[in-house]
Amino acid sequence: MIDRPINRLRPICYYTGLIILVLNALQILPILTSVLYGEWPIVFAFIASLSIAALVAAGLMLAGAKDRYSKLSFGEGMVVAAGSWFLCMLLSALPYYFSGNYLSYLDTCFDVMSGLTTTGLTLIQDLDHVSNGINMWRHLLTFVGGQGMVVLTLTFLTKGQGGAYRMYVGEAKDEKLLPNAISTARRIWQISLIYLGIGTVALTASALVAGLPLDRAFLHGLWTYMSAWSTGGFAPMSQNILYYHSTLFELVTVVFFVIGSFNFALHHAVLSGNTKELRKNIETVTFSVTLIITVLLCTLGLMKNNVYPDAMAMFRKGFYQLISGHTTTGFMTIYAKQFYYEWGDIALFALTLAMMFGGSASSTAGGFKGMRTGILFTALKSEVRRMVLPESRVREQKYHHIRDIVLTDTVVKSAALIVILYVATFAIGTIAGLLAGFPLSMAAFESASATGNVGLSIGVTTAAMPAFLKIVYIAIMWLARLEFLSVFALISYLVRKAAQVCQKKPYSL
Amino acid sequence: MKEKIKTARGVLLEIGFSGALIIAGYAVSALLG
Repeated sequence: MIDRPINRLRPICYYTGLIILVLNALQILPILTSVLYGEWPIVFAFIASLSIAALVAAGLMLAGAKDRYSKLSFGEGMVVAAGSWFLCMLLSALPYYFSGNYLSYLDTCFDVMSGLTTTGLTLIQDLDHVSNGINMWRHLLTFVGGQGMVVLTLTFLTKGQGGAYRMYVGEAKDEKLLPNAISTARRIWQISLIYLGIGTVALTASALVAGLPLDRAFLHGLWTYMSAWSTGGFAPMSQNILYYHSTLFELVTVVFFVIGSFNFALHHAVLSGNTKELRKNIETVTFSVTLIITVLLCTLGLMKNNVYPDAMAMFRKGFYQLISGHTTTGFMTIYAKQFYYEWGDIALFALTLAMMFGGSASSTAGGFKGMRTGILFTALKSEVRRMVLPESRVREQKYHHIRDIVLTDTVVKSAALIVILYVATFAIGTIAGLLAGFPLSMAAFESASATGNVGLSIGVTTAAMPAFLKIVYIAIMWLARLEFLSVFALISYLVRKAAQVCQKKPYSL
Repeated sequence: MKEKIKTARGVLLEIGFSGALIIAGYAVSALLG
């Protein structure tokens, strides 16, 4: 896949700077929000942060300006994607840090990575009294992270700039909805903005019905939509969705986070008139099957422990957390500790499994993704048929995603590799949780949540958890969101550059 | 106009699909819960 060695720093610097600039330019929105509400210390925090980010971005872009039109290799595109995500974490955390809502800079980095990767775990202090500007930035980061920062930047590029598709692939999106990456990125944003309008209106109306005044209903509607669509999990109140005590509000969030977990290629097909795709696509079929299996298992587990007294409570608490976990959203209508003290092992296992399965590939969601689960199941079915049936009756195995695709060994190997990497990362996160002194069920649950970019918490993620565990979770969220390969490419690139410096080899940009 | 109708139909269909999953979830909760 890597068509040329990764050895040119200049184009990497240029595109990384461009991505940082585009993402941080969005700080204008929280600045306007804070001005509107007279939150002046927060306005200054944002202005200072934006200035620093703009300086860093300008420096990188100037350093690479000479090669700005050169075409990136796949490897370089991956380094840009992974590197820009990391640098954006460091720079986009500055408003949080200056706002005084966090105990340390590490905590702010944790929350930015959690937002950008659409995870939703948070270390913020006193969320219920956080300024509107900071809340706008939290939800904006998760909204942009869902679509992808590279995807956002590509929408501003002109056709003349090379390497767009390579950076797009580096951000774990490999679907070309339209002939080139720039028009694909614009289509992704077009779809997201169509739903932004519909979702914000629906959630604002639901919040009004729940009793919020108009301006708060609008802000809560907008922010909750941003989180729901991005399968993010951030909410403006510390009680998350439980705060609203509204069945209507909960149902509307489910509608939008389920849609948000769909593949953008599926959205494009359905919104372009190919309506049959919704019931034929391997990902919607796999999602429906794994959802039903995990819901059954979870409900049986909750019944065994007599956790909820009636069907409605079971639906609003059991089913809601389950589908929120399966779509990797992380919205909650119960308190974190209730998972550990009330749910019991079977229900927790079902939820952990659902978080690992996750949503769709090339979507805002995390987890293995329905595509890979479906491919591996189809491959298993094919192998069983090969063993049971006579050779003459064994046919070529296909799966449906936009069109019928032949299941090749390469496709199966690629799907299996990513699933293995997810499981290995989950194991590392679990071991880290155990080392920090948490019991196995808590360590495994929180690790599954971080690995799947989910955001449901069993109570491990707090500002009081050890610093090493925060760093491990940051790394896990970053690796899983970019689906490992681009982070590995970045690490390999940095190691090679460091080796060159150590060996005093001629070094050039 | 034709494109807008296609988009609107697609949006309604996706909302309907999501609604069907919610109903299935409620059915499981009602049957077992």
